[in-house]
Amino acid sequence: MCTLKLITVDALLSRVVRWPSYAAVDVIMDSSYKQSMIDNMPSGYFVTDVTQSIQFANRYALSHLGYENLLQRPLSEILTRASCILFESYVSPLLVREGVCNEIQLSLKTASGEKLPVVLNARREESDGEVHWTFIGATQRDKLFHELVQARNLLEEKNRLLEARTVTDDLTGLANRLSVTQYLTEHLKNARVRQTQIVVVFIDLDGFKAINDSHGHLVGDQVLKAVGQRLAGSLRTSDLVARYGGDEFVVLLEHGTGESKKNERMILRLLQKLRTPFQINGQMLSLSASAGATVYPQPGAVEPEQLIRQADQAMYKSKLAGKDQVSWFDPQWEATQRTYHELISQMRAGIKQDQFVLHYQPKINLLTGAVVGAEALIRWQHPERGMLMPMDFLPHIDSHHIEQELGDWVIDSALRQIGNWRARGLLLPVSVNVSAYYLMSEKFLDRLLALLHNYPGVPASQLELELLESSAIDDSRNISSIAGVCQRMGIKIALDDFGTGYSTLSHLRNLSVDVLKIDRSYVQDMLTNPSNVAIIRGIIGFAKAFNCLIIAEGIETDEQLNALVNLGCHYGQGYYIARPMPAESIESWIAAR
Amino acid sequence: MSDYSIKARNNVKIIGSGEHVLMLAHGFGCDQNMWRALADKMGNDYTIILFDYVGCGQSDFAAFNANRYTTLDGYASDITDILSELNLSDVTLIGHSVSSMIGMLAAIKAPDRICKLVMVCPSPYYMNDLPGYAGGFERDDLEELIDMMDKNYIGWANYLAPLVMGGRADQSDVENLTSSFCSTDPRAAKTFARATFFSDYRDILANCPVPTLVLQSLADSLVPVNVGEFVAGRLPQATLRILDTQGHCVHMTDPELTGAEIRGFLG
Repeated sequence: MCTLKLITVDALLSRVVRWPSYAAVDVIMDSSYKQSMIDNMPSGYFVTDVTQSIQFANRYALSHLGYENLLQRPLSEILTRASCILFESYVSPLLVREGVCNEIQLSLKTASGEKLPVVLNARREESDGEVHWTFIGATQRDKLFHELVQARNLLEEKNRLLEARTVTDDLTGLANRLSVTQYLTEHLKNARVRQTQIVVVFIDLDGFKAINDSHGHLVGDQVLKAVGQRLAGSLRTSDLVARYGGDEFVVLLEHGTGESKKNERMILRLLQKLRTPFQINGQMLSLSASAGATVYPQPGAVEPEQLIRQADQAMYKSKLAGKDQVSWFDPQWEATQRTYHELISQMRAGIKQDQFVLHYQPKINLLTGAVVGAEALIRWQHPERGMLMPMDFLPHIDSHHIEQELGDWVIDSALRQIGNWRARGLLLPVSVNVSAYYLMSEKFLDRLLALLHNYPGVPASQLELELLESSAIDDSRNISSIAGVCQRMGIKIALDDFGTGYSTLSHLRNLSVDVLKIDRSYVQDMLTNPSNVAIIRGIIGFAKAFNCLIIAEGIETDEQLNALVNLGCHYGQGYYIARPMPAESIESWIAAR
Repeated sequence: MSDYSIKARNNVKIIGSGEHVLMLAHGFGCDQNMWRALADKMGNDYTIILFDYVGCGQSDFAAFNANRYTTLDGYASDITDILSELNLSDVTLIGHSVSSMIGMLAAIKAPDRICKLVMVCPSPYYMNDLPGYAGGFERDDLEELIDMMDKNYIGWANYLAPLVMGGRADQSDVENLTSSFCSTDPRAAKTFARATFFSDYRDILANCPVPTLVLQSLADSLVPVNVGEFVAGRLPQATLRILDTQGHCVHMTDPELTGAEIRGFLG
C-alpha cells in the first residue's frame, strides 16, 4: 500500500468521497490506483493543514510548480507576496467563515521563482481545519484579461475624446451646457450623503452686447474667452466653470454645509475679477457681470434644470437691481410665482366666462344733488373665492399682458352700459380706471377706436379715462401725447387720486386733463387736519388755474360735503352719496332721490 | 445632516450587554462578519459595536468618496463619526490588521471617546525599508495585488460595460465576482488597498494616546513577528502578546485565545 508521509490516500479519498463524482470510485478501487488517479488529475490538487502547511500535493501540482516535494512546506512559500495578502485578508477568513472559496485568481510561485497565474478552488474541513485546494492554470485567462485591459484603455481613450467634444464649449474650452447638467445630475445624488452643499451661480455679462456691437464679434469672442479664463483662474479645480450660452456662464461650487458666507465672498470675488478691464487687441474694454445663485440641498426635491433656472432668475434680480451684483434665489419665490401664473390663467378664464362685472358709483353735483356721471369699478365674481375687489387682484398683475385684456374688457363693458342707459333715456357719462401700462400698451389707440366704433350710439365724450396721478408722471411725455389724442377724440381725461403722486406744475402743464379728482385721504381727514384743508384748497386753485373740473372722492359725511362746497369743490362721490352698485340698480337709485 | 444617519451609513450593529463597550473594526478585504466568533464569546460581558467601513459589507456605498478614503484618516473618521453619533466614551477599540492603525488615528482624533486599543496583527508599513525595517513587501508586490484584485473583482462583461454605457453606469452594475461574506465594492476595495498597503504610519505610533494591546501571530504571512515587535516598541503604552498560532486572522481561527488575551488586558 502506497502511503503518503502524512496523509494516506485512503484517508484523503475518504474525505473527497463526499464530492459526488468520486462516490462510486471509492468502493471499487485500491489505494495505489487511487493515488495514480489523483496524480493524473488534469488539475493541481494539494492539501494544507490547520497550520497552513502542505500535507499533500499531486503530481500535476508538483510538476507545474517545478517541485520534487512540497510536504511540510508552508503554503505561503508557494504563494506570491501579493497572493499572500489576498489569502490572509480574503481567502482565509472566507474559508473559516463559509468553508469554501471558489474561483479566486492568485499567483503561485514556482520552484524557479516564476509566477504562475492560477484559478483556485478551496474547501475547508470543519472538523480538523484541513483545506483541500485545486487549481488550474490561468495563463489563457490572464491573456484574455490583458486584452480586455487593452480594450478598456482604448475605449477609455475614445470615450475621453468623445466626451471632451460633447461637453466642451468650442470657443472658450470651458465645460458646456451639457456638462453642467451632467455634473449636477451626478453630484446632486451624493451631496446629501456627503454632507456637502452645491452652489449654482449663473453669471450674465453686463454690457457685452455693446462691445459686440461696437467692436465686432471677433473681439466679442475674445472677451468671452478672457472672461472664461478669469473665472476658471479664480476657482478651485474641483469647481466647474461652464459657458452656458452667449454671454452666460455657470459656476458650480461644492462646499461643506454651512459655508454660505464663503460662497458669497467667492462669487463677489468673481465679479470683482470681471470688473478689471480686458485688454483685447490693444484696446481696454470694460464690463461687469450680474450673478444669481442658488444652493442645493433645498427643503423640497429639485432637478438640475430647476437649479439652473433658479440661479438664472436670481441673476435677473441682480440685473433689475442695477447690475454688477449677486442675488440669491429665494425658494419661497417659486411658490409665489406658481400662484401668480395661476392667477393670470384664472383671470383669462374669468374674462371668457363673464366672471367680471362693473359696479358703478354715482358722481353728483354737490350743490344741486344732480347725478353727473358714474365711476365704473371692476369686481370679480370668483367661482371659489367669492366677490373680489380690485385690490385683491389688480396689484398682482401689474404690467402683465392680462392688464391689457382686462382693460379692453372694462372699456367695452362701460361703453355697452352707457349705450344701454342711453337707449332708456339715461344720459350718464362713465369713467373707467386705466393704468399707464394699459394706456401705453401696443396699439392702444387703435383698439380704443375699434371699441368706440362698436358702439356708434355712444358719443366718445361720454367716456372718461381716469389715470392714476402716480402712473401718469412716470412717463409723462408719452402719456400726455396719448391722452392728448384721446381728448381730440372727445374722450375726457381725469387725474385720479390727485395730491398723492408728487405732481409738479410742469407735469400738469404737459398733461392736459379735464378732471382732477381729490384723493379720499384728504377728504377723510379734512375736518380734523387743517393742513389737508390747505392742500384741498390748493388743488382747487390748481384746477381753476388749469381750467379743469374738480371732483372730491371718498365723501362719507354731510359735514365733509358741506366743507368741500364751502371750499369751492362742487362735485363729488363717496359712500355718503352712494356706494358702488350694479348697473341695474342705478336707475332705481336715481329715481329714488 | 439631521436626516442622514451614520448608523445606517456604516451598517452599525450593537449586540451583547455590559457596561464596557468594545468596538470591533474589521480589516481590509472583509466586513463585520469576521468578528462573529469573537463577538459571540465576548457578548455576555461587553456591549459590542460592529460596523462596516463605507464601501465594505452592507455599508451605504453611495456614501463612498474616493477623496475621503484615500488615506486611513477617512476610515478613522468613520469610527469617530459612529462614536460621536452614539455619544460614547471610554470605548475599547479592537482593530484587526489595518484597523489597528485606523483605530490609533481615531484615538488620536477622539481620545475622550477611545480609552484603550487592541491591535490584532498590526502593521504600520507593509513595505520593506531596509536595513532598519522589514515590512515584508516590495512595491511590485503591492502593485501586483491591485492587478490581482482587478482580475478577481471584475465580471468580464461588466469590466467594459461602464465604458460602453458612456462611463456613467451605476456602481451596482459592476458586480462583485465573489460576492458573499466578504462583499466589498470593487472601487472602494482598491482605494482601501492603496490606503492600507502604501501608507506609512510608523512615525505616528509614538502619538498614540491610550494603552494598547498588540496581538501578534507567531506565523503570519502578511505581518512578520518583527513588525509586531516594532509596533509595540514604538507605542508609548503597549503590551505585546505573541500568540502561539498561525495566520493573520487569529480572532477567527482562535477566538478563545484572542478573547482571553483581550479580557486579560481589559482587567
